[in-house]
Amino acid sequence: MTLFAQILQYTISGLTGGSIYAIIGVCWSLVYLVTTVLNFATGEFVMLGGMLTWGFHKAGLSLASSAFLAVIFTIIFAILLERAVIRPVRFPTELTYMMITIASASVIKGIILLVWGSETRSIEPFFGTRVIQIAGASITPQVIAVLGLLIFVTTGLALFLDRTLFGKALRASAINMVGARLMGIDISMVRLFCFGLAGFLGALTGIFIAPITFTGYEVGMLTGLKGLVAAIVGGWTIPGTVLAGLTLGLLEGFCAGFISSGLKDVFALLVMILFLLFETITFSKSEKKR
Amino acid sequence: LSTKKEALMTFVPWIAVVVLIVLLPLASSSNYVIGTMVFIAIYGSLAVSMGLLLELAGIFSLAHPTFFGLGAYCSAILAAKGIAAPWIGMIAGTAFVTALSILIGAPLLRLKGFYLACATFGLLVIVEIMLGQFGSITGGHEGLVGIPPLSIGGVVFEKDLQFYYLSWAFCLAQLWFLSNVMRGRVGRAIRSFRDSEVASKSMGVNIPLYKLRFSS
Repeated sequence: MTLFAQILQYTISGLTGGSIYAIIGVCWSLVYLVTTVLNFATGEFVMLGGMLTWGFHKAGLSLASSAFLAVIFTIIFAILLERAVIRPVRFPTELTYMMITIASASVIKGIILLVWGSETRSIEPFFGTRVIQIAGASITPQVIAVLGLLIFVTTGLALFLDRTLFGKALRASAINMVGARLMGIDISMVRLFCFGLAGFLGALTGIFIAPITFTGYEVGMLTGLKGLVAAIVGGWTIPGTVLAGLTLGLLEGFCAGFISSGLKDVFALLVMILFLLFETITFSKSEKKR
Repeated sequence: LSTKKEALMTFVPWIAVVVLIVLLPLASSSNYVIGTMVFIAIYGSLAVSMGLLLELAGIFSLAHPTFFGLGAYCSAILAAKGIAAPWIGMIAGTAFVTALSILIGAPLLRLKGFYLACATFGLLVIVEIMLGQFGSITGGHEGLVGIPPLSIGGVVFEKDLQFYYLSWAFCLAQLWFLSNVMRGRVGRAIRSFRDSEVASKSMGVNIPLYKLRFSS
């Protein structure tokens, strides 16, 4: 393999991973901006999407119908999460939300572990296993599907938030919750919708990525964390998050290719910690100047 | 008279707890109960120091289990490779982790609120991956085996009952020490200044117990 082909190959795998982190990052910021909940169960939506599809498929359903059912069940789980454990909190802070969602993530992880065991599972690719060769690098239809999903999700969300009344209501409640309520927006509905949407996107991502990276009861936490990295670095906006997610994916792809594939997750998390430190330090400096 | 009464009232619960713990093995000699109680003591002391950070200094550090694990690995590696006796390994592990927690704590404690929580959570995952990756030193995902039993001055700690008394002694001593610290000058200092150095030191307080967890 020539160096050019190698670089192309790492770029492709980096963009694939990056699309996933971008979509998950969007899930984080959708929920965080509207409800101020840092939802650490976001990654579990991905896991549920993949594992439920695998489970239904094994039980004899067709791939399409089991994927459909998996998405529906994940949305129900996300809505239940908001309704049953997050809304009843009396004096919520970001930290209590964090503890609650981390605990919920462990619970759902434990349930899946009990039901389907600890082995990694895989779903068959949607469009066959054909491999397309481009300048020495190989690309599968599944990779193209993942990239297509990212484009579909971002344009869909942008149109929804910009053009529809409910999308505008969503943006209004993110900016000022009390003001939005005074204008007659049903806040509890909006909150439920945000969790449901995050569940929907997460499950979809989980199903699309399962043929490439496989799925298992424990894939949620790391995928979710990297989505959080993308959301934080991207400043909680959709374009920023997508850009940060893709950059993170590329960084990871090249680290895995040229340095060590075992340590690629470490690099991603180091990026997050360093960015948090950097932002805090520059922020406190700009405060002093003012 | 009232101060004497107050002093008595603070001592009564302590004495009650100590008596209860000393007497429990007489009531039930089953290994399962004793083993579970050992873990209660270990997790209890972990929770106490984590709670101290959160309650007093307002630091929600998810990296606490990381220090717990690193302390255990450090002393266990020293003991298993025959470099040092287990009890020396315990002290070395404590010193190592205290130094490390101050080193890591100094930059990380600049972060506030959920930023700190996110960063420490990242740290937790990083260390977990690294421990799995460097299998030749840490034993990888299978864990470290062949740690010699702890022995202090000719007494070898092998049975569950011995660990039971040792871990509870550590746990109660730590509880007593920390409750005194909280009431004393340092505690007030943490409350008022939220002093970062003291906070990171208190992260390292209960590490001697970690060796226990791995050999029990």
